[in-house]
Amino acid sequence: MSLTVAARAVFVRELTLFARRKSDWANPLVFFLIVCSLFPFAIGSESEKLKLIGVGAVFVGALLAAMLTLPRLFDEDAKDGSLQHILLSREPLAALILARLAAVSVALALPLAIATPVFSLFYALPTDVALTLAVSVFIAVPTLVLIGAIASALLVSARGGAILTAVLVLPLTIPTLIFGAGAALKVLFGQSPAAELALQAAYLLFALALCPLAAAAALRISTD
Amino acid sequence: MLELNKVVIERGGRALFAPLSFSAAGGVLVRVAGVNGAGKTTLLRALAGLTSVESGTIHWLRKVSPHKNSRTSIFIGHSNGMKDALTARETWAYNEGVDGNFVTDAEIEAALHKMGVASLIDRRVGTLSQGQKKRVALSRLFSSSAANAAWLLDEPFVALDAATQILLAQHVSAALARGALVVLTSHQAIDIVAERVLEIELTPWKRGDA
Amino acid sequence: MARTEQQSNDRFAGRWFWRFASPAQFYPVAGMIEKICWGLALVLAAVGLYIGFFRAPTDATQGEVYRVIYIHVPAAWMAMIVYLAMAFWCAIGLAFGTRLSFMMSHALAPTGAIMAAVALWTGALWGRPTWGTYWVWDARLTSTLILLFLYIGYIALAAAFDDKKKGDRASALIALVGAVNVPIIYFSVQWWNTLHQGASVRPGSSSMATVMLTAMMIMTFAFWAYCVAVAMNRVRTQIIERERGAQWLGSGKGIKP
Repeated sequence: MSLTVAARAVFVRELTLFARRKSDWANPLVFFLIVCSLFPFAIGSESEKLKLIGVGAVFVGALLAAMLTLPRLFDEDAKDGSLQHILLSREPLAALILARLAAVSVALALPLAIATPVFSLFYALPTDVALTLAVSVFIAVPTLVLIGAIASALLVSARGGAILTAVLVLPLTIPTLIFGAGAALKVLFGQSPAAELALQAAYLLFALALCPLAAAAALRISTD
Repeated sequence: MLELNKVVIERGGRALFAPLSFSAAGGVLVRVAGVNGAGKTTLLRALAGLTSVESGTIHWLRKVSPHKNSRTSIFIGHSNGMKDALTARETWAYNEGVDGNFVTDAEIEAALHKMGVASLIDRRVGTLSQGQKKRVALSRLFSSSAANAAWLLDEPFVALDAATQILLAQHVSAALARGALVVLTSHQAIDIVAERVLEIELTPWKRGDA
Repeated sequence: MARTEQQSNDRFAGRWFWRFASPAQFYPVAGMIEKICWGLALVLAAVGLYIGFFRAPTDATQGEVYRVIYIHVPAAWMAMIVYLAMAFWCAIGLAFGTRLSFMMSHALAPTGAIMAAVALWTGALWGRPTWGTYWVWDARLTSTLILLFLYIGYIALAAAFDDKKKGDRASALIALVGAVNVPIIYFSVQWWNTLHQGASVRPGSSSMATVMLTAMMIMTFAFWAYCVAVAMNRVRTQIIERERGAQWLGSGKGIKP
């Protein structure tokens, strides 16, 4: 199967790049840490107050950290010319983009999800809440990457990349934000997070079906 | 066989050159000339399928190839399309892999050897000089997938030393003799042996001139 | 991909409804629609406001303040309807490559954004006396806010390209992505905040007095006519701006201020 070969080549290359350029995933992690540590300075250090805003602060922090890498998703490849390889491939562009986003999701979601319970300590969150939060971050980051791919692909040839990406992407991540943070809040109040996590996963699946196609169309438009 | 019929390409609402029509069969060297900004690179990108045309048609007519997956064309542009953090070997494996081709280490080594850069195979591209990068990029023309494709070469001789320029010219000549179609833009006068040469001059054009 | 006018005319020749896909043909039609809609908007607004402010009874619980709904609700509705219309033209533009479709969606976007902003503004003015605060995270206000973000994203993206054609198609794609997501966003916001007032206007089962409902519907049509009029005005400006070089404009034929 030549498509499997192609998708594998794209996936392996992306992970190799992440392995070589550690700042690509380490910088978002550091950003995440700093954002998480800022909130207590702004709202005070009583643990009851912190507990209530902790879920939201950590979740939004993780989303913003993942956002940082979006403008570079296609832009960098367009600048050094290596984008042409997937554009000229005989294999369907959407499938190759999916392979690439899968690699990016793994490289971003894993570190962020692992860091989530640790940074949750700042907010005195109970262990079960922190772990639920890690799960929902692990679902949210790929969703964000999928949606962000469309914006990033469109902005390959436009001005004002980073900020415009945020303007385009963040409104569309509201569902995953609501369900993801909602799941952790449910646990905080002693209820089951199953419904929220299921809805969050459903949104991820929806993005999985739609976004690679839209990103492929976007890339064709902007590199034309 | 390549056929262009009244091709107009626009950039920012402005037509780059007068409507272009020509056809070239295998074994023909198409030399695209024109001043800077005449649209040589854009024309090559359009031939590769990276840029759409405003009007007119580009047709690639090809004989049925023995390899069902063989490419129509290989495009090597100004930018080498390589990632600094990857080695030459990985770059090769990716470029072929993304097309669905398996490529053996022996093939990569042989191709790099022909361009005189076999020793750089496991060096990261970022550590190479401009000329070395160009050689790694051009070594793709020695791949088995390039053997049956048309070549679209945008200023291939830039940054190469004299000996390598001659080497490349010989390789292009051999491909032409084998019946490959080569479209080339170059400001340098390098001797390429070709039975048939088609000179295309791109001239600036304003709509309504004709 | 993008076609010249000549080509699209050739392609669609013989089908009358495609005739107006040409900016040159559409320009005078747009002028006519604009005039009619201005007239409609003025008349309907006068009638609607009269009924709303002088005929409709004072609300039992909210007093006179409730009358802001004659602006607020139509604006909120139009914000949604205009987004749908915009997405529709974007889809047509992407599918058929007709330039006029993109001009239509560009013309609609600012109007839609203004409608969303008006809905938010009047919502805040309504909220102050009713809830005691300018902003509450009520599900419908929140959804309108997100809709405003989507409008802003579309407008900003369209402006970010030096190549107008690219900008057209890029922003059209993002409008479609937004349109697909709008229902999901609405649903998730409802989920998030189930403490909103139930929608008080539903066909058949209205809890509003008939006079109030009449005034609100008339105002909605007034807003609708206003949106069409403004969009037509803007699309005419767009046509002139974009077709600068075209022959039919050079002759001055069909251009009336």
